[in-house]
Amino acid sequence: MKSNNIQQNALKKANFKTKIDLLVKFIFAFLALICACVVIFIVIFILVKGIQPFIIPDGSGATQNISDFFLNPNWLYDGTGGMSYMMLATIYVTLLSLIISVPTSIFCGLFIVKVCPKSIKEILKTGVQILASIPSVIFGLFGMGVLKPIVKGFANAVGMQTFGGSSVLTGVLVLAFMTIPTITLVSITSMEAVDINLSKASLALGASNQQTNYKIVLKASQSGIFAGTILGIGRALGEATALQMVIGNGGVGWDFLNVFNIYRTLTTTMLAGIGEATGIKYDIRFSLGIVLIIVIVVTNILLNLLKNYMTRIDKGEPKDKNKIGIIKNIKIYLEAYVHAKKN
Amino acid sequence: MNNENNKDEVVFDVKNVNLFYDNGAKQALKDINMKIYKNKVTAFIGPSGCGKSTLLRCFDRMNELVDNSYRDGIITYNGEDIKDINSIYLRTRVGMVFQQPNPFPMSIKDNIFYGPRCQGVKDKKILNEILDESLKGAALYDEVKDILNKSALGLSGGQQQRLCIARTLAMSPDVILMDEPTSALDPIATLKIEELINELKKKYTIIIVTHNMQQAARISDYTAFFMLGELVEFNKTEEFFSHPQDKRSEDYITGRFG
Amino acid sequence: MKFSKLSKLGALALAFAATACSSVSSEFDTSKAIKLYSRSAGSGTRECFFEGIGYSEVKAEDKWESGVTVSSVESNADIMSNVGGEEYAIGYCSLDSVSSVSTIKALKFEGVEATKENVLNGTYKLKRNFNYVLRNYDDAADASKKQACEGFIDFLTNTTEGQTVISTNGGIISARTDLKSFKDIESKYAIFTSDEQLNIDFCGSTSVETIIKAAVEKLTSLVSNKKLTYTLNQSGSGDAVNGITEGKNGKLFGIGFLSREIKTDEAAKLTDDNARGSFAIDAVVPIVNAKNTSYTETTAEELTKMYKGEYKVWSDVLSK
Repeated sequence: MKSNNIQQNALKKANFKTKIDLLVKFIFAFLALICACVVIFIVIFILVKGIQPFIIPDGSGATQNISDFFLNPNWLYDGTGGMSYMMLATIYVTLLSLIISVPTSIFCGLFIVKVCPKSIKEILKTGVQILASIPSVIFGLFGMGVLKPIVKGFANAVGMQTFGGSSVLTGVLVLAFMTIPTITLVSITSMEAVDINLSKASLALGASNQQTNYKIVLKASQSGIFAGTILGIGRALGEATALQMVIGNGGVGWDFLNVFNIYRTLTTTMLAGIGEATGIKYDIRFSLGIVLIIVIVVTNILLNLLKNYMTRIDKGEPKDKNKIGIIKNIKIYLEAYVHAKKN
Repeated sequence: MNNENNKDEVVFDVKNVNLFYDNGAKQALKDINMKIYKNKVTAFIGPSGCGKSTLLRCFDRMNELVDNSYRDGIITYNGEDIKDINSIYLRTRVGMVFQQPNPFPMSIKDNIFYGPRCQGVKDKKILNEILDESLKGAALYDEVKDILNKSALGLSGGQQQRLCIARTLAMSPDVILMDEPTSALDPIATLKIEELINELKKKYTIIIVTHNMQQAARISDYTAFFMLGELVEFNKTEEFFSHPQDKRSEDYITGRFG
Repeated sequence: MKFSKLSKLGALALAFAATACSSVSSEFDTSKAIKLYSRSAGSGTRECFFEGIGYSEVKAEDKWESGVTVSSVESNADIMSNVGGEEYAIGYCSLDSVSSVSTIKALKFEGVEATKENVLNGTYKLKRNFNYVLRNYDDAADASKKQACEGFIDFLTNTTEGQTVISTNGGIISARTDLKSFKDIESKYAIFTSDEQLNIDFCGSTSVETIIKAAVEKLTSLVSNKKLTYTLNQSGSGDAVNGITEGKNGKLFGIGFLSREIKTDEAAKLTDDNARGSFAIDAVVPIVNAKNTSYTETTAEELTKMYKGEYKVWSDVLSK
């Protein structure tokens, strides 16, 4: 009978399909493993090369001085010098740029999602997407050609001098311009994801459009906006080329606190003069690389913890519940384990 | 539709209302004429797509949120054309409860406080008074009085819908519009809300859109039957269900189509 | 988001923009601080400059005095555009680049103007040699490559065409009477007339790029073997010797160029078979902004004091 044939073939095919499923699963796992390995390899490579100057004696039998690496306010480019102030400058420049970029992005996002007429909404969105994919070098050129004269004029107007417009302030502005499209895009996505029914409910209660925008839309999308900010921080912390063109590459110690001074960051220092660097002068940049990686990893962990906390607050759970929850869970697991052991 | 002898006070007067979507391509409402009476429950019934929810949304001008739609004709609220009333102000007097419960992702307290806060009320004493009144008015007070700071999203469906009603009550409106408020709820929650509506009509005017004929028969004082954008029949509920005047109403009531 | 906050921010932004438009005042204010520029550590130009003015502590490291801020830039073009954009700046760059930019002005050094003649006759002291070093190709296996490299250097240093290229591109060479024409040397190098496809990679200093690029163009237009190409991969004098001995990133370079002398540790890697020599002199010129009209000449002592921070504002220097 024909149906018997189908049955037979179905069984064979089913077995074959199961094997294919298993094979594909392994292939995907393997690919994912390779990707992870590349990242780990890069980090380990930098770690190893960066530690070497401090552990392995160089030609004259001395190793680099670790306390000098931490405490020296100057960077000498001959392999000696301290990175602490550069690390602080990196964080400082990023923070300042966030002060400019986050509110601007939120307003841009709100405008595009809620306020602007539907006809130009798509054009604006596409414009922001294009801005987000412009390479950093172009922002650097923009900073050099356009922002430097503006900052110079502004500095002169308030009675300060700059290095032809190169300054921490110019660097902050360039970073702000670079991160605004990124944060705006993510903000737009999270604002659009806010349930339209919530806005309707708010309007039905007699709230104005702007009240609805701020109290409902912004509040509901705040964890999304925060995620966008994390992306922006990542881009700003790691920016080298654009920043190097405008920040001046000079200065020691606490100079970076005055935004009209020139300074340098971890990234620009790693890049400066790399063409002519050999030996220890080249290797010490890897040590800076370690510092940069640590800064980025720690920042990301802290920000993600904060994001999870904010998401939980959004969902309305009280703050201390989570700690108690974890302890309770551990207790339950332990009890279950002990119970299982007994049996 | 014999309203001339009706002694009840008129809240909304709908005259020759047409509503078009898609820049005039589709007509959702055709020449609607009716009155809504004070402190009564008016039910809008009819098969899907007949325009009842659309007309409901006209009363607080929420229809204007849909692009490319246009309404003509006149709707007056207490004698004034609603187009001349500030829409934000109108919505403080005419509240709306939606089909899907949509509490804000905040605490129960903050949900209730939301409307008054938008109007500038800051005094904690006044806010707490409003809180108590609206929760009691929505028959929710006893169930949530100890968990006011918890997220509203943790409540059950029926409780959430009652919270939305309480939220509307916090604004002390004159009219409450309800768009199929119990269609997403289980029978017990539905019963609770129907009891609530019975209580509420003492103080508020209620217009309720419902898919459920029996519900309309149970709770409403007036019934309006719509079909394909037309108001087929509008009468006191008892009259409508016992002596429908239009053949189409009769067919609908007896279940020949739905 | 209160409106008062927003309007304050808006006012600040407007002030920002307004001052930008009102740009620069045309008066040179001598009470303003001197803005010091330098090439970044590792540059051959920098070494030449600081050796020349006698402040060799900083020729390869940023060992500036306390309180001195110096802005480091990456190339000749960068330092010129920066000095051209800042009225109160002082810096230095290669001689051949200066004349083409109107926003900067070259200073006399120790009373001597920076010109080719003064460099060749030895009166202008801020100078350095452009050097080359050849890869030691195996005679048998890489005969064509060896010819291509030796032929290039022969063209560059011994023919009228080659010497013209150098001088038109800013290199300083002494006038010679013993130059041959290209035709004379062409027959010595079979690769110039054959049909073999070959590419030679150059490496080393960026300062020589202008001259060498022009020389490559000239030579490839003269030879009949149109499949012979030379590619520049300039990344700094530090890469020259390594490039022709060990190679970089898997590439083996034929000729390495330097804008300074070969160091002892680099020389240790070379043998007598690595031909090397100097093909031009480059001079380093102190530059200031064109608007700095009263400052026309400088001395090693003045420059040192400026870079040491002993002169802080322009009036310190100009009043001498």
